[in-house]
Amino acid sequence: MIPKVPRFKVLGQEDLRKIHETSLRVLNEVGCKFYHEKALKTLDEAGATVDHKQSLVKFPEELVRAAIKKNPSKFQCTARNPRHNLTIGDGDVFFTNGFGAVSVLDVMSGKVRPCRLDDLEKFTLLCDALENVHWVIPHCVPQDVPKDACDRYMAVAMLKNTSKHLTLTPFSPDGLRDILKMAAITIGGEEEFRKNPTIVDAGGQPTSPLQYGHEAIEYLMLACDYRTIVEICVGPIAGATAPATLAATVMQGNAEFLAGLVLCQALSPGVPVFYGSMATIIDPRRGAYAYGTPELTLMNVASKQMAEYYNMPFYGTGGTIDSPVPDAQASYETTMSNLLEAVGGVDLIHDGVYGILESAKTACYEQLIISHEVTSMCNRILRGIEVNDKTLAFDLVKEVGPGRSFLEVHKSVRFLREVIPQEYWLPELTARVSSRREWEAKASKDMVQRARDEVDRILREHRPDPPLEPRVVEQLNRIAAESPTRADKS
Amino acid sequence: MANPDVYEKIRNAVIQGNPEEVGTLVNEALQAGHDPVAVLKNGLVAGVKTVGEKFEAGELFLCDLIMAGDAMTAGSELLRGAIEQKTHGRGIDNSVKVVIATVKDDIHDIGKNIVITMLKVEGFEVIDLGKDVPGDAIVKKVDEKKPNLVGLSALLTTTMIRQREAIAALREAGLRERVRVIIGGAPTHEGWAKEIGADGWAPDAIAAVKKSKELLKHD
Repeated sequence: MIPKVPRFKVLGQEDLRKIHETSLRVLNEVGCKFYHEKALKTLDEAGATVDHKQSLVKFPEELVRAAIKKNPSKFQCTARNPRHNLTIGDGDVFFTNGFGAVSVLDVMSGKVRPCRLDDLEKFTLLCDALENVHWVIPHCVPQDVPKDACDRYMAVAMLKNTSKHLTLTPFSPDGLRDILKMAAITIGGEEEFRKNPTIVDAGGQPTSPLQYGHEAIEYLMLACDYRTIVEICVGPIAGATAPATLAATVMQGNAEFLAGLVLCQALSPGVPVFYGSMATIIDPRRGAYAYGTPELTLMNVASKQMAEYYNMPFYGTGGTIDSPVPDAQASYETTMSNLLEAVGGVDLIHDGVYGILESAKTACYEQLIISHEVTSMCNRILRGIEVNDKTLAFDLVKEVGPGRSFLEVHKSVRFLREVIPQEYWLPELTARVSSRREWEAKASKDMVQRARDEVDRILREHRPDPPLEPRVVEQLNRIAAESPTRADKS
Repeated sequence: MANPDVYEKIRNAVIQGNPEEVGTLVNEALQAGHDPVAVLKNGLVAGVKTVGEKFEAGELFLCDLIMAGDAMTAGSELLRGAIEQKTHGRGIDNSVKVVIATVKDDIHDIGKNIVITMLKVEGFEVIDLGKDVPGDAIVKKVDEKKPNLVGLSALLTTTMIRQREAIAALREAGLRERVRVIIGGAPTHEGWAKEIGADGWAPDAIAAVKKSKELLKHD
């Protein structure tokens, strides 16, 4: 949805310039560590100052500026079903589901249990069905498959259950090789994948402050080699892995992103690097990562503005929840960040259709549906108010005149019917109760219970379109089953 | 000679998180002839315990706890020599020793560092191996330092597996039965701890200290 409402901004032009210049200064005077010999060599050859002993790289300003220029301002993300292809950077706001829970809350019993492979399959299938999940990411990490091959089993579960654009998360460089091989198989093989690598995305995340670990760099290198969408998602935590203030945290995250961008553009010039952030704060009372915070929203909108300053799209983190249950707190947390980041023009709201509770730990089926309802409401806000002669309806006002209802005049009722699809949000699950008795007659279900019913309905009725051929599924399963425990040995 | 005011002043300086002030006061106390063990117990440790309790009750922030920890460290460094002299080089021998590390391939060490602060506040002697620590380095240090407890931290679902490897390495080296092993980190859970043969698991720093004490009670 392209926002039609004025953009929500939290920084002025002068703020952006200051953050940019301080980031450049950090990269130049402090530097960033890259724990990877080949990366150091690449950066050295690109013109950075490299201290091999300390793995420390310092960047001249021109090198950073040149990398910014090389990064595309928009790119295509393809999907197995072309109907789900996305163009990122045209002004549209898209959403993903949540990422990486390790347990699942059973709302009926109130018990939390470890996440299973069939949970990942179900969440992926739900995401395939929910229209505001535009891009599907691993909702949870199953605990009932061999850890060493878990990333491959996750890839099979996801590829089978959606035809939308996917992020498949590896747990080792070998894992990523296998995963990319699997993605290639679903679209006809390696050759086809080389031509159309944006069917999945891959990436490597820096570890704040100012370092890229060995595995993260391996991922970036593979992604740059295939020229998939290359994600660099920074995650500085104000007060822990970044200085206490929001300004410094946004700035440091920006510097970390730029350092990785320079590497990617040196490895594969013009490769689409997607600037992302999950910047948030530490809970000063407990020292834990807090995820449903207003500070997260502010920093993600600020980082969107930084990305725009560089003429590149941005994926922010929104919709996230600290509450351990799908309660009122969960609802306002998921709403606050989703809405403000949507009107902030964040190109992809990572986690928007969240479905996870307890600061990214515990998945919740019902919450997925509730967060989806919130994103649907956000989309209505983004459409804004269209003002023209037709929508101002002067003729109707004149015809109906003072004192009469607009439901009394046929022409005006017809007008209502005509404009409902554009003008009105029509919720399927949100209760609009004209009579309490009517609601009570339908078992007095609250939103969590209605969401539960919706989960059951989708799982019963929905199948991905097109399905993966059994022959393909068999090939994928074989890769997963054959993946040796090599990840375990290194 | 004993001047209780001195202890109170030291306690307050620890609570304020002021290492310079603590240093000055500890030096003054030593010069005035106070028993260094009493300065440690009634001053530094008592002060930091207060901060720990208030932190646990949600009245103080993590930064208050860390600053108090820094202040205590500054004071105890000054006391170390005097205590060793007094105890003929034995030091205070009732302290519990912990070897702690963020496992191989993982460079996220903030959580582990918070746990270290909390353990120090509780009077544990902590040997920090840092981050991205392979199993054999942990084995070597355990063999050398003979700790009571080993702590293994992992933030990523991708590095949890290294916790299992580290425990396996301890087992292979024949050291596993000599120590208790506790694990932690966002993606870990009780079931994982059981699966990989750890003795305990904790979801956060406060729980980690509680669990550590519980595990060591049986020794």
